[in-house]
Amino acid sequence: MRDADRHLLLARTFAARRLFSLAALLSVACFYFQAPHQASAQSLSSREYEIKAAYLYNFIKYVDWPSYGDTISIGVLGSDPFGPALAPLNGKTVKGRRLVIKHLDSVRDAQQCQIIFVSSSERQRLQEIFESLRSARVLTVGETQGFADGGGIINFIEENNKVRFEINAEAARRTGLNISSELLKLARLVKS
Amino acid sequence: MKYLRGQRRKSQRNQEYRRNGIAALSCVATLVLFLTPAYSAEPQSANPDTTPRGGESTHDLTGLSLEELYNLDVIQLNVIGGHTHPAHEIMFGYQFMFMDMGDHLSGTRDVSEAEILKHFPSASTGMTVEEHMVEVMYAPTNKLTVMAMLPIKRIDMDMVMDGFHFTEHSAGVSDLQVLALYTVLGSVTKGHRLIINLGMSFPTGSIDEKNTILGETFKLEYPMQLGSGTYDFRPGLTYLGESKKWAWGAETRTALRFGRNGSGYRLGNEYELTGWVGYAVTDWFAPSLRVNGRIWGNVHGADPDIDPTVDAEGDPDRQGGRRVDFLMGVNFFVPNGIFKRTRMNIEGGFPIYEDLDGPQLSTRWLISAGLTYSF
Ligand SMILES: [Cu+2]
Repeated sequence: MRDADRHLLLARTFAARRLFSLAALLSVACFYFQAPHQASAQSLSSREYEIKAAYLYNFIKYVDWPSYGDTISIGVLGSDPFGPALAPLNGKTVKGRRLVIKHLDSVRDAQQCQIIFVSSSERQRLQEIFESLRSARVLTVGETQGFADGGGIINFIEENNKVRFEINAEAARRTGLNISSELLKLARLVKS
Repeated sequence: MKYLRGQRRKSQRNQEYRRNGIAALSCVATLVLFLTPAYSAEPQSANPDTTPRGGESTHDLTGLSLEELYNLDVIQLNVIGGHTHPAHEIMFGYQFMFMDMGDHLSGTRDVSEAEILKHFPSASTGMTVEEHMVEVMYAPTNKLTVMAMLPIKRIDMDMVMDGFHFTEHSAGVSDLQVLALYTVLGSVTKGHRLIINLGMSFPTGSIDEKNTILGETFKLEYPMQLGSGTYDFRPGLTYLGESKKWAWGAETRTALRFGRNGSGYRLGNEYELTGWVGYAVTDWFAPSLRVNGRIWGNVHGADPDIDPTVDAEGDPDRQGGRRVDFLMGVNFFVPNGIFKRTRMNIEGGFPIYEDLDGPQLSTRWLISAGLTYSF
């Protein structure tokens, strides 16, 4: 091979390789720079909260309240971690009643709800919340360590990459709620 | 002198591979570092932003039963093989693959270069295949996932002819693949799933790759071409099993080809059977083991522009083979933070059995790395 040929060949292959690497890098970069934008808009509607929202919906079917109004209300107390995940529940019909999602400013508004979800932002005030709900027929659901043993009824836990829950059956009985055995069967049972 | 120059050229190439390898490794390391803060970050529940958000996409899982919710993975663990997505989920993925080939085999017997040069004026001495694949997946329903994959390839083959060493090179887009994955039995939540894959590939890859060496332009041999040149059917079947900590599965993949491409031939059919098992050590890390068996046929017909007498790679009857690879992998998941739905996997291995209609270059090792993001 003449040297000129060799240089031409080398130059061509190297140029092609550089171009190729650049294109590959760019496509990765595009993917990465685009991803965070979608992710930040998406971060609150994560799978975890989609699952938790669907659980809340299912709990209604497995829990009996002593009395009902025309609607069944789920109240979110504290900062809402669900993002858009609760929206599909709003207006659905369960047990022949319309489901309503509420955002609560204070635990006093919780009296009209069948379920209140206590956000982990309230972890410092849990005892206070349980105290003021003492006489209310409310299913308390949380996602804070010690929520159920502390007096809450259902607490979400993460187990093997799955969302599962603890139930304090005694707390439910005290509140006058009847939890079906099917729900209890799946739960990890805790005591106060 | 010629030989020395050839050697220099070769070591230059090796050096470049080493550089590429280091670049790839540092890329992976950067990504790992990049992802690390994400899973050590505060859980999202601590997010102080309480403004209700409207108009954002979310998946309504209220149709699932209590048991199904109980068994639903927050992040789906089975990463190997065909996978599906829940309704309305979109996934973007990037896969990098690299294969290094050397030493010749004829059947299962080692064949030296000297022996090949008794029958052909030219012989290959080594080959590398680099592939970058971009994939997009979308699930219109819980049972159906559709996906499109576009591989971009770069192939280099070192050759020797009369003591003179040179390298053949081709690079570009390969064949676009479109697949529909349909869950026929089971579901994500039941622990066992059977998925039918119906796929097709389109001849978007070039079958007209040429090189000019020593002032002479010639068409590159079959393994150096980027596509099949035909519309191929790619049916397959995937079985996925999942328990608390284990993920396992098996998959068949085929490429069925008919007719002749524009150059007067068609590549042989391909049949692949793979089985794997992965174990989730933590919720963000799972190592895996995989065995992959592959059978591929010889070229039917011939490209009149490829001389089958110059080297074995140009002979349509020296293309087929059978190979079993053993592969070890690591899979990373990001359990929370903004990269929550990012998954990364790196897998590498080597053949434990190889039988080629040779003489053909055998595979020394292969490695792949992938990154996927779903939303
Ligand atoms: Cu996917």
